[in-house]
Amino acid sequence: MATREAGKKMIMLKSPDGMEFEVEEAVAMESQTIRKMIEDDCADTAILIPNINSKILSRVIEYCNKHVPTTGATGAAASDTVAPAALAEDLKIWDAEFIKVNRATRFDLIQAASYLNIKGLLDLTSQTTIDTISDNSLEEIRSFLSTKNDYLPEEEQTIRRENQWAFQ
Amino acid sequence: MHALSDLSDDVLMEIVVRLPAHSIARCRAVCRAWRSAISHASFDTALARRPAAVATVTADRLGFEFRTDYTYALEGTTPTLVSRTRVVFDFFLRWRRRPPCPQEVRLISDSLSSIVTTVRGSWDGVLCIERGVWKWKTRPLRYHVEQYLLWNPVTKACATVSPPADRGKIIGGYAHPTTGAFHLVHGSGEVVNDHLMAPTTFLIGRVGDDMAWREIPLELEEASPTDDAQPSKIFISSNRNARCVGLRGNLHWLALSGSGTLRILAFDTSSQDRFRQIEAPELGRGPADLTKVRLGARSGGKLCIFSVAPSMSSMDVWVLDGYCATVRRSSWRRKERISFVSCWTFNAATEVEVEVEVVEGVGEGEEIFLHFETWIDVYNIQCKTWRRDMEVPGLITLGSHESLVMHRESALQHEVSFGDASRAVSRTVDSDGTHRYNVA
Repeated sequence: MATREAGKKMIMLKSPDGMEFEVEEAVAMESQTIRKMIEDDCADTAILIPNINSKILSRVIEYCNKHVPTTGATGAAASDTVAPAALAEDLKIWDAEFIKVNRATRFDLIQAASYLNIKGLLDLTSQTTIDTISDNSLEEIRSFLSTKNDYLPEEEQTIRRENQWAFQ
Repeated sequence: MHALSDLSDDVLMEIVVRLPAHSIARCRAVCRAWRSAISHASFDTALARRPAAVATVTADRLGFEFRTDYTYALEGTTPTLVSRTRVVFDFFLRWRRRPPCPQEVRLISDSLSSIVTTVRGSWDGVLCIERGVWKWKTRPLRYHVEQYLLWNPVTKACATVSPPADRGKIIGGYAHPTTGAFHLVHGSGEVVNDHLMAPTTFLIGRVGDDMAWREIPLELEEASPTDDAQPSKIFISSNRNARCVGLRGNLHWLALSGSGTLRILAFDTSSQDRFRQIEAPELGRGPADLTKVRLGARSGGKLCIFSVAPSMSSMDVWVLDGYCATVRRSSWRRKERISFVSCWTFNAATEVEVEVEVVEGVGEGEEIFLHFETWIDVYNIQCKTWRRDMEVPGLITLGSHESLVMHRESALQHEVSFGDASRAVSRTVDSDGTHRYNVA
């Protein structure tokens, strides 16, 4: 059991490709999935995170590190001097920078955020996809999603007719 | 992973439930996999858990005009005089405003009396708009409801419903948890004064071509021994303050017992068999005043009560932590007291009518909207800050009525919601981009 500094409990996260990440418990608990494991005492020394490679996992940890509530020992100094609104603004800028990744990485992050159940990260990573889907035509959506239209022409017509209000 | 289609169904669903309702319907046409995912029942449940948005609904009387019906003109018939009303729906916050909002529905009526149009509420994505007239010839003067217009601004589904009884009001509505069919709840009884009614008869009806109303009993036996003054009575607001709050498949209204104790009236929308009472917190000494208390629902599915102090200097927020079959008075917790002093250039002397709406997840965290005569103040629960919004839409003219509603979008099809009562609407787009629908 790794313990570093006074009173700060550390957790070891392992990716399937063999990398190990030592993080503060509070940071790891940004993930509701990990929080549940810890609370149920299923996480003694190290937690294996399946399906998430080390590259993605390190980014997820980076996000959690930034977003962990600053009420703890680490952030006390910062939140005393900085107004909550300024802090929120700072986070927004950081988030915008964080999400500047290619599409494959973004989808990987969506998958990871969903598995680890980190609401903020899921909101952030899925926003671009949501904007694209809500602002574009059906053909553009399909090409964006790399999805093939597997409807027969008459089937598609029926669906369009049933949901006519959405195509006006 | 290079395509969204490689994502698992669960993840796909996470994305789809974050979409605006009209995009969701379009996604049904993307491919088979998406269609089957979006039509699934669990998806409807996920959609119902989405945060609601505050929307404004304005009803304006546009006056009278001669009907321009060319068929009649050709036949040489005298043109008829009709009265026109418009109802405009819009999301309150600018960032949520994207086409097709704002939207407008125009109503034409042959009646030569002045029709009063009032917004009753927004329930499960459907707006309920009351149309009534004052009967001048009767003494005493009497208000008569002609019809209710139901309108889903997302799907543009429309229906009109006649009131089931001469007296009483529609007090709430819901989409049935399993069938999705829209139902209305009607209450009637002795009207005590301008704002109180003692309902003795409750009717519910499924909207459809042959709308049949069914009477639902009200359980009164839970009244405590101190309520001996008028043990068999319960009072609810008779005006639009009678806000119906849906949560966990139940509808809720604030009510008063005979002795003035605050209570909550609840109705289970899946069993649809009875109205029961839930205990409410004791807000202060003396009988509660329903014009100063509002019911709301907060994130995480918690019922809450906003109670404005008689001095109008602060507002208490009460939260019900555990929601179960038997709610005791002690289950309620006063979560916070919000001071109004920092909110407006303190104007305690004026008795302003306050409408309270609470909404989750707009911008940063939950917000409470306080609606005054000409402005709206918004309190952010997380940041504990006030901001003022003068964005009260439209021109407030005589005969207009404007209301804040908490609107949760619904993408249910016309036939599912209203069955055969679904009415055709014709659509035009104005030069300013407003989508306008005409209901004959």
